[in-house]
Amino acid sequence: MIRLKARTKIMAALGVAVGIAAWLAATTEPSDWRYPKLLLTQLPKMPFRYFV
Amino acid sequence: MPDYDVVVIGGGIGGLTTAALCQKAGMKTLVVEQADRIGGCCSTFVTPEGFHFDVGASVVEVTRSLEELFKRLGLSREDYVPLVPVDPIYDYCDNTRGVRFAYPTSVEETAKVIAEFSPEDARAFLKFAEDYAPKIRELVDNFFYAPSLGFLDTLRLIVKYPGMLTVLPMFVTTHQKIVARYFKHQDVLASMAFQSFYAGLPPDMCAGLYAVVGLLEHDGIYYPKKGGMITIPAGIKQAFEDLGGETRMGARAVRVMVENRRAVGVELWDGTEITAGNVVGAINAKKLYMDMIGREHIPWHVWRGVESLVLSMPCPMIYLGVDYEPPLRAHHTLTLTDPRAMNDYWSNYYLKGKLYEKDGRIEVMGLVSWASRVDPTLAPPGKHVLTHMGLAPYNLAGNDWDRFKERYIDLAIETIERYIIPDLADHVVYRDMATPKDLERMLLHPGGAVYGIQTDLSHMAVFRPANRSKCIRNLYLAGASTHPGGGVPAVVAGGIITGELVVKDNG
Repeated sequence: MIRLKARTKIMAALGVAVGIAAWLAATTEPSDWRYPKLLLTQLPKMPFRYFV
Repeated sequence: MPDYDVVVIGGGIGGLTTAALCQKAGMKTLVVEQADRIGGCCSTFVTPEGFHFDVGASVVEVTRSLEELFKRLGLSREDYVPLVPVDPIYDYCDNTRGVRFAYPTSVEETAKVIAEFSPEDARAFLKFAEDYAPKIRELVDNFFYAPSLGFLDTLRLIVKYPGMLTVLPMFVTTHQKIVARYFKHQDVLASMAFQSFYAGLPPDMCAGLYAVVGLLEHDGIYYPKKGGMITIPAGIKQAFEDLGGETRMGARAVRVMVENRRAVGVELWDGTEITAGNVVGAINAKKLYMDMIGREHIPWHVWRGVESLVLSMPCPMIYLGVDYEPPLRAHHTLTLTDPRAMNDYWSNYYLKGKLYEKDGRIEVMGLVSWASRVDPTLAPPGKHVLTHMGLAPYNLAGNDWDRFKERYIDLAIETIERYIIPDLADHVVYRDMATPKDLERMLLHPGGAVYGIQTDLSHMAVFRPANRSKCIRNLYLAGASTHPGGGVPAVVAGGIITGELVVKDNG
């Protein structure tokens, strides 16, 4: 089993979250911004949720 | 030596599933349930007049998780939870425009129904089913039964089932985008939009996954043969007890006992302490961590994560007994849910604590279930039971649910009369409702959130409370607020994941 430090995990979670945001930004029509906006407001919270 | 190997807090279907699997593995297991009735949201209560009403859940969309559970218990699902198919799946009705059509179980027959008013959309429906049915089955068959404790689990799942990669885009796109890609007719769009209702989000903010979940219903939807939805938890409880498990009703757990970041038991409301090698919290994760464990046992970054969890939208329930056979054609009837209205409802009404208004009138959006169509014994002879599941805010602007309750029932009956059953009020002989506050009081769901935690990408998989606690050893979670999510099939699947983790971790 691979053991990672908390800081590494937070960075990985943040990386995934940023990746998702970039994907959304690239694939979303301007008229459909409510979902990305919802996710963007949740983005800073996702690395913490990863530990729950 | 602890009193039990496993103590499970909450006798809902998630907790009972986990308990049965632990007991099957030879672990001495106890379930403590605060109420005098099992099942939580998936339950049925009886009125003095003899009406049996389902508390919340009104149907089982996917029976695979129940089959999996009983297979793992070495028992027959049919012996413990007899189910019958429900067909048609839904009836869509808007008497104000003279629109009514029902979707049968068969995909081909559904396409024929759509072809009557939109041949183009009928062809699109067949294409939609062809494109997405295999993907959603892939998801349910794999993602539903795999733990999602960290990114490595996600990676393992993809390596094991590469087909899962085709499912991932459904998490980041929206319900509205997927549906609009296929369908043009407003009534078809409306008939598809209600699936976002189950996620508690409007179509333009709901994960695309929910647009295709409806296709699973074409594999068949089911209802208990007799006794209402409580038959499901009652069957699991019976299996658990047949295996030697113990259940204590009316035993409300108030605290998880934690020593050195290890769960060692639970304390009940009367001060009784029950020690256990493992504790399973089959209640809302936010309530478990914040009210029953407390900040002193939880690292700051985990606490911050718990605090940030957004509860799902409350679903107030209305229970009506009627003195005739209602003029309905299906177990479920929906008022056509215009996706634009649903999007508008979220931002301009729900978030402001208001109920939806159309043409200056309050309208109560929702789903009418006619359970006594399948099982006539749920009502006294000649009578029937109807339930209405709606969407409404927990905090009403300028009002309070306890004061507003009767008025809300009136408004719901008026809405149903306008769209579905014109003379309903004349036939109602019993009426009651569970407001979001009642659901919170009765079922201990904070905010009356029957689906637990909101289901958007930021609350799914590794970002949803894990089935095995990441900060308290020997603590596990089950129920709608953990992975994979809310709804009968998902909660049972989550209970299976949790049960297997407990068994595996204990050798």
